[in-house]
Amino acid sequence: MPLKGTDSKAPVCQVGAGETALSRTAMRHAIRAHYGHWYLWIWGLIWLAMALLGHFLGPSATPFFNGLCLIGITSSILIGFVQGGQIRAPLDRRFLAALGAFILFGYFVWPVVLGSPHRADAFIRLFGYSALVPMQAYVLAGIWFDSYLLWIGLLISCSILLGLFIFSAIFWLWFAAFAAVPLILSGFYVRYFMR
Amino acid sequence: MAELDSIIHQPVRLQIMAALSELAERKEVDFSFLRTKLGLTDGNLGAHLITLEGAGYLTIKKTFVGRRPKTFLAITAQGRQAFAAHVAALEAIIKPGGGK
Repeated sequence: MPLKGTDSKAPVCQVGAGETALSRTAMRHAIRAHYGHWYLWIWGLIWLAMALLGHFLGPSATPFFNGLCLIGITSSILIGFVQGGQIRAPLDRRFLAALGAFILFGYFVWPVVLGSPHRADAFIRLFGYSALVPMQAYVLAGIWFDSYLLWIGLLISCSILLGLFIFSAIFWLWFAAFAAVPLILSGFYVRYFMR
Repeated sequence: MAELDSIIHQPVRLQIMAALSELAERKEVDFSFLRTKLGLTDGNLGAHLITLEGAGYLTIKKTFVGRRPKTFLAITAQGRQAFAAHVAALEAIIKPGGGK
């Protein structure tokens, strides 16, 4: 096993292998800490709080919804900023453009230009719709990058749609149990079990 | 027979390559973040990075995040290949019956 400038091979190799294992483990932990679980936990908790507020307060919960969304957006930006300064990937401008166009359509063109529903259950429908938009963004990101995002987006979208159309009488509780909690649990999966 | 790579074989460089090889393709790690993870000093890490960059095993990208200068590091395809070959050579030595 030739190596220029090395006399005693086996002990050096064993020390080297040990160091390799340590630095690999350290880096694995570091990379794992940069997965998307923080976003899933934060937004899962916010959804849970929103669902419970919606259940108990009805439409008068709207100001709390706005405040919670503001907290979620601010903390997401902060996490992205901190993580991007440690481990980063080059920006995929095409994906950002696609995501931007989608969000613009989802949150501005559709509800603002085409109007919101004027029905008795409009509050629930608007809330369900506003939760479906980010889940479609997950689907888009899953198609583009990583399949786990696709599955989270699809499963939670289906759950929200079921809540809206089949279980609308218990929508808020349904949303808490089958959209918010799964989002939090998927964060645990991503952090501890995903390879 | 796989050969040990004398550039990667140095213990600090071996740690650096092992850490960087964990990154997914096209991902980059911040210099100070890697320094902390590996418990090295600025000078020590910097010197070994230059050696590895000279061998074509990693890229060093200097940029600004806001007003602060940042250095990002990424392993190259050549570096990944060389590290895998080096690990295979190490395994051949360490494992019973290896290197025959």
